[in-house]
Amino acid sequence: MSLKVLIVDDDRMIKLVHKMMVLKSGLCTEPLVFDEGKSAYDFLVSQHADFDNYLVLLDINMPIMNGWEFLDAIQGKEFEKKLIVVMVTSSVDTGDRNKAKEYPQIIDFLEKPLKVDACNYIKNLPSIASLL
Amino acid sequence: MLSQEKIRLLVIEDNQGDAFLIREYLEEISPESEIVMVETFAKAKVQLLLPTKFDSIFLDLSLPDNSGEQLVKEVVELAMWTPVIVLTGYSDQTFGIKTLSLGVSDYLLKDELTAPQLTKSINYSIERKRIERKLKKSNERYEILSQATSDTIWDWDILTGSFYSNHGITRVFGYAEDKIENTEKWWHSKIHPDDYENLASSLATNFEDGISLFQLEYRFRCADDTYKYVFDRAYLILDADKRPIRMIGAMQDITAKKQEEDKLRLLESVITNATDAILITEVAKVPETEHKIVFANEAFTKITGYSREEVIGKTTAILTGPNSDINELNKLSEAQANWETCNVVLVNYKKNGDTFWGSISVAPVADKKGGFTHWIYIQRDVTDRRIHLQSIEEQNKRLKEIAWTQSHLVRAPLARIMGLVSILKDQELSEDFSKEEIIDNIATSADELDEIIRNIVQKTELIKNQV
Repeated sequence: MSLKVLIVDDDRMIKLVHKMMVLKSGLCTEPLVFDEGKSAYDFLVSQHADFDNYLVLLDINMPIMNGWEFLDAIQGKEFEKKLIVVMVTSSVDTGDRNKAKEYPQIIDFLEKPLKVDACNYIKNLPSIASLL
Repeated sequence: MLSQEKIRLLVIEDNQGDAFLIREYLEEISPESEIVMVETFAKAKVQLLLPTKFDSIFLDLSLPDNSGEQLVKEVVELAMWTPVIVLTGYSDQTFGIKTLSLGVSDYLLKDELTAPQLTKSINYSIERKRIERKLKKSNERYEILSQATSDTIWDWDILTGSFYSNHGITRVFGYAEDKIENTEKWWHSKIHPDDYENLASSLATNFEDGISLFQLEYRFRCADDTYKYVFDRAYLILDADKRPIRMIGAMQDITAKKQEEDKLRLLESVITNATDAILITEVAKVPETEHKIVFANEAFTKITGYSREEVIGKTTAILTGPNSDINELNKLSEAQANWETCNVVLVNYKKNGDTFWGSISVAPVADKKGGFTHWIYIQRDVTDRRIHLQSIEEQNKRLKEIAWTQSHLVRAPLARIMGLVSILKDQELSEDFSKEEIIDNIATSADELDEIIRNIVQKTELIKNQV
C-alpha cells in the first residue's frame, strides 16, 4: 500500500509551505507539487500506475484548469478510484460545499494555510488512515 | 212619538195608583213597548241582573225595602248604561234635583206627568246616555293609548296658556307629579336655550301661516338637568278665522338614536378623513357576479384620480391591469370566496394609466343576522416604500457580492502570510528558505492585502453614494 500526495496550487509560497507541512507531519515523504489542475491531470494520466492511491490537496481558483475542472476531467478515468481529494481554499463558502457533494472523491474542505495540525488531522481521517 | 218603536221599560213604583198612571201614559206613547212593573227594590234588582237589558228605568224614590240616596246609588250602579229617570212628589223636589249628580238622567214630578213630557224625557235620556257612553269609550281609548305609547303627549291651550301632558313627563323626563306646573311658561323653560330660538321661529311660522302640522327636533331638559333629544310632532288647532287656539303633540325620545347617529358621524369622519384610500363594495345579490363599488373616500379619489361618481357602480377591476401580480389577485379572490380577510400588495392603475404600489387590506362586513353584505378595501400607496425597499435590497445584494468576492481575495495573501509566519517560527522547517526570502514574501503579501482592502472600501463607498 502506498499513498502519494499531490499539492495543486498556483501560489508559489503556499505550495512551499504546504509541502513542508506535509513533510513535517509525515503524511508523505516525497509530495509532488503542481502549479494548476492541467499539469496534475497530465501527470496522473501518464503515471497513475506508479502508486495505488493519490491524495490530492486541491486549490479551487487556478489558471488553465481550476479545481472543479480538474475534478470533472478525472471522472470516468481508470484512475478515478485511486484518488482521494481534500479541497484546500483560501475561504470556504456554502456554494462550494454543495457543489462538492457531486464529487465522490472529495472527503473534506480545509482552509489555507495548512499547518502541521491540519496535516495530522488529514492523516487521521478514516479513509486516509487505512492507507498509511 | 218615541225615537225608537219597541223599547223595554222598567217601572219601579210601590204606589199602585202612580204605577197605574205611568203605565197608562207609557202604553199611550209607545204601544209596542214592553213594560215591566215592580214594586220593590229587591224585585227591581232581579230584573236588572237579568241578561235582557232595559232602555229606560223609572224609579220612585221611596220603596218599602230601600229609599233615598242609597236607593238611587244602587239602582244607577245596577242600571249601568241604562238611563234612570227619577219620579218625585212636590215634597221631594230638592232631592230630585240632587239625584242628577248621582248619575240619574232626569227627574219628573209625578203630579205634572204628561205624555209629551214623558216622551221627551225618555228620548233625551236614552240619547244622552248613548253619547255619554261613546265619550267614555273614546276617553278610555285615549287613556289606553296614552299608557301604551312611550311618547309624551301634551295639550296646550294657547288662549289660556295652560299646558297638560300625560305620564311621559314623569316616565321619560323624570319630573315628579308635584314638580310639574301645567303652564306654557314652565314647559318652555325646559327647552334647551340653544334650541329655543329655532323652536320659537318654527312655531311662529305655523301660527302665522295657519299651518296645522308641526314637527321639530330639539332638546328638552329632564328633572336631573340633563337633556334629552326629542322629536316632537304636533297638530295645531285653528279657529274659524285661522287663529291658533290649541295645540296637541307627541314628543318622542330620540336620545339613543341621536347618540347612535353622532357615533356613526364620528366613525364616518374617520373614513372620510383617512389618508388611506377606502372603498366599500356591496356583495352581489346574484352569485358569481362582481361586487359593485358603493363608496369611495376622499383619499381614494386623490390617490387614483377617479372622482367618486366615476367609480360608484363599477368594480375594483378598474384598478388592476397587466402588471398587477396575478398570484396576489388569486389570493384575494380565494379569500373573498371564503369570506376571509386578506392583505395583498398589488400594482394598481390610476385613472391616467400611471401605476402605483398599493398595500390592500380587505375585510368582509356582516349584518346583524351574520350575513355578509359588503367588503371594505383599505388601500395605502406604498410606492415610495416599495422603491426604497427595492433599492435597499439591490444595495444589499451588491454589498453581499462585494463582501463575498473580496473576502476570497483577502484570504489568499492572508493565508500566505500565515503560512510564512509559521515557517519563520519553526527554525527547523525554514532551512530550505532564506529568512530574507520569507520576509520579502510576507511584505509583498501584506502590500497585496493592503491594496485589496483599499479597493473594498472604495467600492463600498461608491455603492453607499449611489443610494
